[in-house]
Amino acid sequence: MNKVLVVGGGIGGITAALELASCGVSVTMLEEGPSIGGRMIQLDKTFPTLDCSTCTLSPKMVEVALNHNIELLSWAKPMAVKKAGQKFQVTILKKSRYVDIMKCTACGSCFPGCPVVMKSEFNMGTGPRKAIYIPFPQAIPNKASIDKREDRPCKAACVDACPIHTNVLGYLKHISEGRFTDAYMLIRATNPFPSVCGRVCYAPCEQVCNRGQLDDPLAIRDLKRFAVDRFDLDSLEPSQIQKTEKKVAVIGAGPAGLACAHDLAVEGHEVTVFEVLPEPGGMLRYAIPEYRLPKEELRKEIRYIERLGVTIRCGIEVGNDVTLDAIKNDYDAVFVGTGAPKGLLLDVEGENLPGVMDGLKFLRAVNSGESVETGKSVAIIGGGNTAIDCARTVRRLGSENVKVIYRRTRDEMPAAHEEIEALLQEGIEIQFLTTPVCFYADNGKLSRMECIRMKLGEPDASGRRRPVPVENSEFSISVDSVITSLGQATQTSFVEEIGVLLAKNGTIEVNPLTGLTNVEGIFAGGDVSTGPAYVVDAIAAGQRAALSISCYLKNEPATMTKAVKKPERLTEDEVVDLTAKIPRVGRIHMPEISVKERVTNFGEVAIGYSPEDAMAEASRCLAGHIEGCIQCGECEKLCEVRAVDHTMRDEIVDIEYDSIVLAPGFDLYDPTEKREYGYGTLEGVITGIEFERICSVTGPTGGDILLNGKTPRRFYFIQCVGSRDRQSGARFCSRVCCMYTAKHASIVKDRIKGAEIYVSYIDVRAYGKGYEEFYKSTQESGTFYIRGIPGEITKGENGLLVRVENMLSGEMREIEVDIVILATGVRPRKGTEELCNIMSIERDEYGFIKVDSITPSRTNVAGIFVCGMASGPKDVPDTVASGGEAASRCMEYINQ
Amino acid sequence: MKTGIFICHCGHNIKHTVDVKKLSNFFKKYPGVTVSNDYPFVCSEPGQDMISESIEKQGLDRVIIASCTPSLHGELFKDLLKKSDLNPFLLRRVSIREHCSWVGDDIEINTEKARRLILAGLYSAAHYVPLEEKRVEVTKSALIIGGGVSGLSAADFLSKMGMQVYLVEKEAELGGHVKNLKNIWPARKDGKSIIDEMIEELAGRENVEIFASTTISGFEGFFGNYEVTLDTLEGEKKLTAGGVIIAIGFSPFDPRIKPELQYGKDKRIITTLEFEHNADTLQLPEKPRVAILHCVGSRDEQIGKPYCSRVCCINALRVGEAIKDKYKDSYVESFYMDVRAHPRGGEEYFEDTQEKGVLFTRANVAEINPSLTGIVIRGEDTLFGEIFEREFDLVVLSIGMSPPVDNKLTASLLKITLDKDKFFMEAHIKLRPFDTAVKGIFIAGSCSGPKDVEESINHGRASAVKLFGFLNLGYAYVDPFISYVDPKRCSGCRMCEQACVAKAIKYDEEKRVVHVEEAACMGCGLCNATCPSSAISLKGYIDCMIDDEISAFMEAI
Repeated sequence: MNKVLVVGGGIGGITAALELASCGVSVTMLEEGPSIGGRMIQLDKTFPTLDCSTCTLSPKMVEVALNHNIELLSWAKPMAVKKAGQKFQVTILKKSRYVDIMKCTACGSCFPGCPVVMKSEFNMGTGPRKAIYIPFPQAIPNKASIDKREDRPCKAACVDACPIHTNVLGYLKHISEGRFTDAYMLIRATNPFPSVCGRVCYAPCEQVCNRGQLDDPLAIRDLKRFAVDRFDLDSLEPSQIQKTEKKVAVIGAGPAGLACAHDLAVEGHEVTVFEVLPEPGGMLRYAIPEYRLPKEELRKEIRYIERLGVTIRCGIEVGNDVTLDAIKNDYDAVFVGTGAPKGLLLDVEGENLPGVMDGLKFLRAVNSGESVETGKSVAIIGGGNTAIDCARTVRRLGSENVKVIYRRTRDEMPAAHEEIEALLQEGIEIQFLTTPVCFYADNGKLSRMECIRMKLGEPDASGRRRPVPVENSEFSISVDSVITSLGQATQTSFVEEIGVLLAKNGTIEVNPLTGLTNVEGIFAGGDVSTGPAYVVDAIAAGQRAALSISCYLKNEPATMTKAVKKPERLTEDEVVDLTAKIPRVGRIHMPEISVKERVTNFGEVAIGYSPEDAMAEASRCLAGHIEGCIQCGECEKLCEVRAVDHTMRDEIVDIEYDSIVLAPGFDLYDPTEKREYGYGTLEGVITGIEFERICSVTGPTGGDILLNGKTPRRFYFIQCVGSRDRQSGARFCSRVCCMYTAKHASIVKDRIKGAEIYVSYIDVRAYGKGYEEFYKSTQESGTFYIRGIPGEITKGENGLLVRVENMLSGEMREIEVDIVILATGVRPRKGTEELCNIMSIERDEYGFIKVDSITPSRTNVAGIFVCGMASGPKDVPDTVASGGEAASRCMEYINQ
Repeated sequence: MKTGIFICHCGHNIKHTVDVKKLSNFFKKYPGVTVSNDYPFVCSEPGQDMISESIEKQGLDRVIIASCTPSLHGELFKDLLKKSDLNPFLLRRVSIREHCSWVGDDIEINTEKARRLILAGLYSAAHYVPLEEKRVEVTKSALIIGGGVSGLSAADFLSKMGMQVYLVEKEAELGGHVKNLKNIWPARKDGKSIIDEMIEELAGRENVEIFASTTISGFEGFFGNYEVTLDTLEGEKKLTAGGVIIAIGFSPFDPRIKPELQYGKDKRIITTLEFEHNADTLQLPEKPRVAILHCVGSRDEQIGKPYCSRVCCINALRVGEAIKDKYKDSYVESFYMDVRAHPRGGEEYFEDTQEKGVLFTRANVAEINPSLTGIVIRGEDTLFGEIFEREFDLVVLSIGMSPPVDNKLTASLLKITLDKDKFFMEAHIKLRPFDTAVKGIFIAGSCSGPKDVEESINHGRASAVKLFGFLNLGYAYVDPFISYVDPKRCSGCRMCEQACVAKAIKYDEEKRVVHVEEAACMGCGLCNATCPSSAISLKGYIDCMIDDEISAFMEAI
């Protein structure tokens, strides 16, 4: 079987390929873009019949896809061609589309998640598309592809460091380009507590952020908070969920329990949460002070979980009010997420005196609105976040002399750096290397505590240097109250009744990947199984458990979440390389309320970014610096058939062909250089092909003719832009613009009643079957044709001012319109030169492929033929005829 | 019965004036309808997938597609059914675009009409039975009518591909109009040399038979095996051709139709063609004054030539150039409406001609008056709004292309249609510009509308490659719409036998009834209509089906 290569999948190439295939030739069609259809498929209608372009062409495209004699390669182009005798050895580059064409079902689930918004080439930039996309619904092949142009400069360590793998790259990209709602929704996709995490997360992402190796790490958490601030969660309607009829009980309404409940509800399970305290939220509600996390923020996120259908029953203590066994019998599965609510004891004399309080109890009391008397001088024992929360809370309650007593140095303090900073700013002193040894009371009231100095000894199990007392260094501090915050423990006795195995320290033993305990149907996660950790760890544990509970309920093996990749750092070479490329820009800090003001109340300290600052800060993200796909992996997560494959590589193949047909098509003139028309600078000046996309049902407006959301009423069309024009280097007539303008005018007449339409022309070249008649009827239906090309377009009071001399009447007119459409001329397709060079094909002075008018498809190389616009302007019927002609020459050549 | 109804939006085309949602909802509840959907482009890949999936999953046994005219995507949807293992004759196409949405603007009226059209389709489809397409052997030969540049190009290709070619030319010589052209633009070649080259190629080939001074006198049969009768100088000759390419060209416009041009009354008023032939022998003064009139016989509704003839502007430029080249000090003025310089160098040629000194005046010419000293042209300069009156030594009329003289005869003989300008009509003006509505019959070159040499060559070869694609397998499939006789009803009156043009009805003397010879029947339905006892039916178009269809449309059911 003879083989022919057809380069280009427009109507010319399609015609040639189908004709050759019908003559029994095996055809390979190369299309440089994602879909065949060429320019014609971009058109709304075709002149002069006003047939829908998609309706006439898309069946032909389908024919190409279904024809057994045609192999269609999209994203492919020839790289080198060698003539071997009568035949051609062609090296073809098959660009990777990063989507497995055999698996992709064109369902479109991946598009909404993709955070990279680009201009749609198909819509000529009049609308957006994502980096993963199908250019239009009728595309052939109807498969997604990823527009990946370069490798991401950073290692996305943030995503790997995040226990719930938040798509940091994605939401930063959204924020940097002003899509705040999209940013929020992307965060929300993996996190039911964006507001909480945007405020109190310990941000492991920032610690590893690769940008931190260049200057400062991104303010990832604060930007999350920014996205949250711009979104009204109460207005978000949960999407419809298919119910499963399975019931799950969740014990403990802390972050682990609620995250688990959230994910289970999304899966359609009926979830009931049991909470011992009067309000849900756990530590978030009762431990974290208002100035760090306003209660209303937390309530909003819990309200949403309730709106998903989760029932939260507060004031019920499992083990006391109801037994776990009873719950186990009533529900199909149980998740235990009761956290570590118990404060650890100091184990020194006087600890039980009134005035010595447990930190968690203290915070719970304050957060419950109880009045707590602390006196003037308060000492807080401990160096963790809770200790700091206590200290800052005490400060706000009015105590003047607040001290934090910590037995090691600042370097060993487990509290977050910025929390310590805030503490110091608020005038709270930290006494390092100190520990209390005894509390003393005066008249039954705490009066002083005796402390001892410490020094750092050998490292302990945690890797920190163990503090050892310095002999004879005791000293005394007078205090009105003492708050101890030394760590937390679980309360797990209620699980033992049904035989759940506990570890020595009282935590529940679980499989860390699935959350499954030793008892069937009982899962656990969060602090209750790990001991005290961070909010986001608890959320992650809840989510993991939810996933395995869902599997358990479906009787499927538990899905292990993906193996965790360690956050990677940039190598030194990469740092050097990036430092040279990317200017140093430090972090833009989120503004805060002044120290003086903040210590007087519990109002939130951090104010939040302005949109400008947020966008500027987010745009520092290294991943956002590249064009196209940022490899954030969101599409992979969303694709149910696992068609996305970021590891694909471009392929190069060598194939022998008997003949070649070139049909690379054409581009349209870019009128930016014609300053007088203001294209690119004046709003409302667009090109014909852009207008075509705006008219089209498959276009960005669904076919409504809109300019910035409004229907224009006054239209001005200018012909011969970039044709018959020496200045733009094109003396030739582009042949199609007169007619497409007449078509546009008639489309406008049809769709916008009462539209005012003007057309400026030199000669109206309506040759072709039915063309003259079409032009006449356009004129007769009320389109004003003005002979003369406008000299200038300027901004008028209510639109665009077009100044034009009507050469027929000699009068100078100034016409105000809403939209100006430039009928731009035809140019050889970008890449035609390269294509011709690799095949040694001659081109004419304008760059079109040179042919002889008596053998219109024959190029200077025997065996290589050309059809369509590549050899000069043609309309559709002429392109079809030239496609057939090229096929005929090709058949002759291979049958010699 | 499990019928699936698929209603196409056709982008804006249908949706704009038909409430497609309302329709699909209406039919969802209709008895016998299993699926009723509307979709933006049913013809696209996802649209087709939707149909095949419904066939497969819902077990549809009837498919109704309400969209564009059946002629547009007929084969496409038939193939779709075949691929889904459903007999393609269980498909019903309902035209709600050409017959409905394009007709009126009122969405309510259109929606109601569309509803009834689909309903009629539904009732009709209920009578459908699976039918099998007939495979017919085809003759690998082509009849090419017209030996101009288009026909010669087609003959060249087909014969090179090894097919038997019969080339029929009514003139004594091949070559059409092109052989008379001196300087073909833009090739800058002599027409005769181009034609001679082509003829020489053909002459040496055994599989080419050229019939000059020959016309077609009879034409019968079907795709794959057309029976042609030729009227040659040697008498009648019969042949069988698998397909036909009509390339009978055009007739130059005869300016006598417009007496105000004074053509034929004064030898100083000539056409572009005459100028071409006699350029060397023209008697002109040393500084000749020459007027060239554009659009003679084109863009002229008064004489029924509303179309643009595409080539005459270039012809006018060629005249201007020729005069200027020969007489440097000549005064040449072209009177035009729009200069439609046809591409590939046309615009540049227009500029060059202007630079050579040819004047272009946008004008309405009102009067042409021959006088002793010259020809006086009076008219209005439409750019300056002035009335002018100028005298010329020569007036050249740039005449347009009129349909070929044999257009009606050929059309009726081959049963194809003419368009409103009396050129041949294409199956689809954009994507099938050389197909006709009849399978295997193509139209090439300017017989379907004005074309230049390059385009005529393109057409000739493109239609040839298409025909080759149809015939090269040696067989093809044809529609199974043939008649059959119910012997119980047949009274043996034999009226059908006389009505049948295909001689497919045979009378059984013994049983005194007729029967249909399937291979010969061409499904015209004449017997069906003639039979007084309704004993003959046409497969695919049985009487009760048509009755039901009409009743459903009239809401009489």
